[in-house]
Amino acid sequence: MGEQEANVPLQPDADTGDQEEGFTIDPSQIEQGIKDQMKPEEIKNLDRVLDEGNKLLFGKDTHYQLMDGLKDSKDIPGDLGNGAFTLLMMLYKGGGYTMPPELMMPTGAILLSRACAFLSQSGMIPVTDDDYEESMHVYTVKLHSTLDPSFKQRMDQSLGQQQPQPQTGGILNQGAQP
Amino acid sequence: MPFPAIAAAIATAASSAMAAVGTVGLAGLAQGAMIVGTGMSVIGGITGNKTLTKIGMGIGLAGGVGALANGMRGASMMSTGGKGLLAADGIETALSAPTKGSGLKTFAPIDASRPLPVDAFNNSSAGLGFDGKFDPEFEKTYFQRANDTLTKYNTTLNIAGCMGQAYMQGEQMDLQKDLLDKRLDFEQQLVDRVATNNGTVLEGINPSISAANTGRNSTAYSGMLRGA
Repeated sequence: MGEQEANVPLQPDADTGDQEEGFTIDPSQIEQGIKDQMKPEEIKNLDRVLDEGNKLLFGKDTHYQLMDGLKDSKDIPGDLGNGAFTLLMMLYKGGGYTMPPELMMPTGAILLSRACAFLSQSGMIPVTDDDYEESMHVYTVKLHSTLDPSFKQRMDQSLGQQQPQPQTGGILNQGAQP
Repeated sequence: MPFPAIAAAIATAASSAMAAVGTVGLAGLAQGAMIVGTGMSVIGGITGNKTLTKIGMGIGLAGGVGALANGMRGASMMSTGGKGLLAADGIETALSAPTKGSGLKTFAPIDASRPLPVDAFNNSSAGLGFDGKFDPEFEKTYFQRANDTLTKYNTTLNIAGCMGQAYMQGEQMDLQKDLLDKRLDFEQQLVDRVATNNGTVLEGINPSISAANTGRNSTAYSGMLRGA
């Protein structure tokens, strides 16, 4: 994949395991680690989604808007995580709502790692591994809290709060329920 | 794209996502979380990057597979060299019990030459101080952080926690705009009708009666028409 090759990976700190300053995570390793868990057909679909994601992330029409938005950001991880969620929703809509749900997390994880690597390598915005972790957290929480009604139930249960009534659909899906 | 337009686009896409995921089933979403969680844990275990391991564990919890961690660890201990993840009886049991994770059966067999994902998961989590056991405290910490995240970013786009509210707000605004447009059209029609009426000469009708009954201005039409 051309776009993938364009992102020259950084060397991970495999020796010490200590977290150095900067972004030490290798996006291609993330991608490979994820793809190792998938079937060939799923990988093919994932590559298609990633190609489209790259067009949004690094395309001439949207790239500079994205960079300008991040340049003035006071919350890089939050903006990255929220941006990844936005990006995924755009991809989902652009694909006619046919993207398999199992590709949503892998797509976000890989595209976020590519974005972090790009920001770090370009020197435009200092990004660290912790920023990636935080942005992944934001992305994951937003995705699951939006699409998975059981997420909030488990969260409430874990935090010892009052259990809401069991839902058969998500927040937005309630209207679709008979 | 301006912010409201983006928000509307996301709202539409997310609501559609809700409907689609709801019909397809949430197993796919959980499967995706498991894929990424396992992949991150494996890479974290190989490279020694604890950040990746932490991400993997968090995603696992978010996807609802955190509760399976104990079962996974047990299955890992049961599995013998080269035996795939799904070949372990404990995993089959764990996967068949909850509604989530049914899609996990689509996982590819794992190469025997590489460390098992569950082993990587165990090793990495042990490195984080979990001592080889699923720690409810980690789950609580994770969900507390998730709650904080939802609270923090709820005001940004109103997507995460109150996606439906944002969507309904947009719908209501559209509805109000439609109503306003219709009212404007109606008023415009009224103005046009009055203008038309006022431009028509009513011969043989007492202007005072005409004005009282039709609401028209009896002196509105031009002098040229009057003289005609």
